[in-house]
Amino acid sequence: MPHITFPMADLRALAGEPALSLDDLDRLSTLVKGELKRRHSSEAEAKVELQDTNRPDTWCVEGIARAIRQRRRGQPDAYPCFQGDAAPAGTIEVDASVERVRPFVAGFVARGWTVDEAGLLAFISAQEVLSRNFGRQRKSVAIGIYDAARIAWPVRYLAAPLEAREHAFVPLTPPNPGDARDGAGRPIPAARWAERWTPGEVLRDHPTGREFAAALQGADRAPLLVDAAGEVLSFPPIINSQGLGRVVAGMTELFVEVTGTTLDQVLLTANVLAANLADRGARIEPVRTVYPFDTPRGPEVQAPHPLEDRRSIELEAAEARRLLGEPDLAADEVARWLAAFGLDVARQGERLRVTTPAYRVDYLHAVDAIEDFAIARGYEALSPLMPEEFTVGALAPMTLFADLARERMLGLGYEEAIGNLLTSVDEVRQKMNLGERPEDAFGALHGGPLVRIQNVMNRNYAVVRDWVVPTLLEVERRSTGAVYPHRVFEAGEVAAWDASQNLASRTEQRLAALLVHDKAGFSELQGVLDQLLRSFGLAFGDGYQLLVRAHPSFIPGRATAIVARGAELGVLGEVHPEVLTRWGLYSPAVAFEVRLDALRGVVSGQ
Amino acid sequence: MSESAGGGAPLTPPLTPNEAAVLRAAGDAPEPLTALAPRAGLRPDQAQSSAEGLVARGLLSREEEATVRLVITDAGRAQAEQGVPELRIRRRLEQGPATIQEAQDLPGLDKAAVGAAFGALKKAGLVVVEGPQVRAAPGDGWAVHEAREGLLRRLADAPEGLDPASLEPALLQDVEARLPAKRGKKGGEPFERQEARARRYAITPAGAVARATLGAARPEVAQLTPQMLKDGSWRDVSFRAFNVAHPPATPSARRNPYRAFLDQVKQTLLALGFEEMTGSVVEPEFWNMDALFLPQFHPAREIHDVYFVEDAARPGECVFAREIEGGALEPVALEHEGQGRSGSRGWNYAFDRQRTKRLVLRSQGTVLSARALQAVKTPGKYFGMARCFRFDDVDETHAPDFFQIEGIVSSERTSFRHLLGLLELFARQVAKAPEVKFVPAYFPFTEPSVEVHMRHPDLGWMELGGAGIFRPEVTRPHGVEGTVIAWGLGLDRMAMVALGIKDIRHLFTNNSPEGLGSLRLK
Repeated sequence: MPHITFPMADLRALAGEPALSLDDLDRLSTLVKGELKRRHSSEAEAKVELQDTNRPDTWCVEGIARAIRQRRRGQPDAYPCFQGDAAPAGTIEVDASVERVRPFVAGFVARGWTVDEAGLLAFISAQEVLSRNFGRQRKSVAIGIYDAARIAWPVRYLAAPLEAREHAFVPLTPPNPGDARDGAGRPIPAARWAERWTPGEVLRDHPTGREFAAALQGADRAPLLVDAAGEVLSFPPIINSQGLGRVVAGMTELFVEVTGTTLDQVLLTANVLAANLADRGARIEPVRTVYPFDTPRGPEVQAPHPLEDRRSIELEAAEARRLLGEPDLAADEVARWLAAFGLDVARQGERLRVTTPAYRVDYLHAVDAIEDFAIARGYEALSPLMPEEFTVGALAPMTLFADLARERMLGLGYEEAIGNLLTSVDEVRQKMNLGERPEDAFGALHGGPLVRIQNVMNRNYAVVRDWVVPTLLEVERRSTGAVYPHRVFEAGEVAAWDASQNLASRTEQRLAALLVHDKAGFSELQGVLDQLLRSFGLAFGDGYQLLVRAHPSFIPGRATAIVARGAELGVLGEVHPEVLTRWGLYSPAVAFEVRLDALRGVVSGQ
Repeated sequence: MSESAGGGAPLTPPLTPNEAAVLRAAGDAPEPLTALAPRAGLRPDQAQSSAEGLVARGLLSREEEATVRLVITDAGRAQAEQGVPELRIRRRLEQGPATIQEAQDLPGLDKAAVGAAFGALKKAGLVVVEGPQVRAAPGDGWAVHEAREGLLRRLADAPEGLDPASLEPALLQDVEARLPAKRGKKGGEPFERQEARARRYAITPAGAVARATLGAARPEVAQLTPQMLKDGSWRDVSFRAFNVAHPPATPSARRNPYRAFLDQVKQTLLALGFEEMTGSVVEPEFWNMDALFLPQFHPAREIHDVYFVEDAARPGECVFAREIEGGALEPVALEHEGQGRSGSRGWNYAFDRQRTKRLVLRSQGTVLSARALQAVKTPGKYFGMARCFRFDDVDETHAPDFFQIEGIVSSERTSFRHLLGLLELFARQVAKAPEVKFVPAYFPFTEPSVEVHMRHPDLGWMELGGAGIFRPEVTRPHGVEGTVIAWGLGLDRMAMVALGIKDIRHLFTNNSPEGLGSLRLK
């Protein structure tokens, strides 16, 4: 979730509250689902984390100031630029070549505001946060800003071959040009910054190009914005040109453009930026984009765009009363607070038509407006009610059964462990003397194949364990400082690969125990297992049997399958010295593992 | 509660058998342990601690005297057996003519010591060098060496040493010259001086009274045996006192402290009328995300956020569920596309009906709630403790997998205010923190949403959890018309405080630094 930092002075000026303190901000940031990061903030500079991924308009100082301002004034600010009726200040002509690469572009011109440091910093912050968090690292949204006074209209949006010399341009010089290295790690000579680069060269050698190349997602052509004089504005979503694309304080005419892969996302981003600049005093003039291909909003789309079809919902006051639990809530009160939240509300008796401003299109359902009302008025206005209806609490049958087994293991003198499920192939296979072929499975206890992670991040956590004995050996490996003998167990989950299942796996409950001391032997743990099974009504012989069966993790002839009424419950055996050696253990060990689901099935006669 | 031992008169334990023996042997006149111990049938060192114990009880008196004793060293013992170097040189020379070298070739003696002795003899005129030959000369000077050799032989049989004042002045002078220097190297000297405190013990009047009450000595045993019980011989023995100072290390069986913490939470939720939900750790994206109305293009659904499951048959490829059970797919897909039962505008994109079946490792416990909606009782309260997995670096704030505790409340009558009441109840019952505050929050599947912060007794204000009312886009596809509250509690930090650990990985035994025994519930 985005974090933003801004000067408190800028916030105070935009909010029109010269005395606004950090404490005030702490309280008011709930309006934008923000959390003031106290430790990183001072009265001079505030850091706020914004939560609402559907409200990119709140991820900037202008958005926070707007919420504060509107709440004080009790009504929405007016944004004439979203009427959609002004004559365009210019046109962007889209070339068919961008359709496959990055089809959409929207822009507007901002006049009458002299760029100052605070405004420029805030714009850059919004640009970064929007293109990173809303535009998925510039993949779906990227933003450019230019000196509009020197642009020759119309601007063309085209996709050129990466190595096209005819569209080579001088890219923005990075912040520390002296330290810059090209793609081969060589320093970039100072003279290079004044030269023209092809888009391919930018991607290969320019520090900014290399940082953001992934945003193009492997396209073989470079989107370019070029003005009528053939001057390159930028190479979206990578970098601006050093000529038109360098904005400094003192400029008074700006062109802002947004490119991307989803038209409405592009338009919404342009709207947010237009509102921000309007808040600073700029007059927003629309720019029209003309497409040679069809778009969801037709061949000609103007920005800022009203997005009118995505902004209104109908709200019955009764619905707000029911959802919030306030039988006496009046429709008028709801309307009043929504207006103070920047929403346009038309009330007809009990029915409200609520319309968001064009910089937010997050209303999907009436519940969204109900929450806005609750936030606008403040959650502290809602007094909590205790649950009124009677329900019966219950554990899942499997949990109850596992808890019984745990209790019995404790009574038998075994200490409980709790393990992570994610582990390595090494731990559950190699170290256990096992392979991953189907024939390496031991009944239903563990498979050969494992539930593996496809996008592995760390080899140590690449698979889900399908048996618990390896976890206990890892516990033992770490426990050599604890008093012996070691008697340890875990009742826990595993996930076993099972191609026959809908979810390609079975999540099961297991009970495993490990006994380690100088004279640890089969019969001692057999006695424990026998007590455990006997406590569930299974006596040796009639109730369950131990069948000698080879298992590579255990000493040959000293591994047995636990079988009850035809069901394979698990394994009991003396751990193979080869396995102990691989774990770095120097004391004999005996282990068993029981499939609790299967045991429960046997016990309950299922 | 029973009365504690504090405050009463100190208990006087019975005499140990050794103490009784010493008390019996003690006389009216002060005497050293060397005299007393043999009569008690003990070694002097055994008798020492018993005698001191009796002194502490006022049954024996003790007087102390500082003494200086001359005792023999190991080197002295060797000289007592083989002779002092000076006399050995003489004996060698008496056997026949010898060179200087031959005269000093004395096995078992340090060359430097022989050299020093030879030099001293030569200086005293007791050996004479004539050309290459050496011979012994008679003289009074030999007497002191003979006296010293005799002294050594006596000392070899007198471990307690003797009082140096009892020696002849000439011998004493010679001996003192051979004591180890205070500083410098020690080693070959035959004598050393020991300063000791001689302790002498005598019985006190109280001791005499106590002695009168002592029974006859009885055999002492360490262990009561079945045989002793059968034949009654236990009546004729005394039992050795035990040593309570060193409790033996005994392995204990106990619940895992983190599991115990989770059990407590579970019990609390049961008491509040919640029914447990369980499920698979492998889930399709559908239940993990789509059914929770998280759009498929949402940034939190990228490859770096959830773990996908690999197809064992086709390494590198993802694996998909064959179907979405219960006919839930289409109603949910329609909600995403804005055509669903809830009347929502939807997310304005074409829902991918294949991708939704892609299998992932459960990334949030809400999956259980989403599935529960298919057969939810109204009214009904549900909770789950779900093991969850996130694509994150494993470090001190991220365990490889972790528990989420969450659930739902379904009701015709419930409201957001009831949700706040429920959260207050959780704060009180689960976290023992009565003071809470509610702040707006964002979760894709709830509206309105809220985060509850509470004042923890130790930690101050902290987040207890998040909650909200399920969006209609989440409930309506399953035919649920009522209001469903969804809640989740973040208890890991509380557990870490309760267990006194700073690294979340250490909650799990197989990732904790000392394995067993490293966690203790405070």
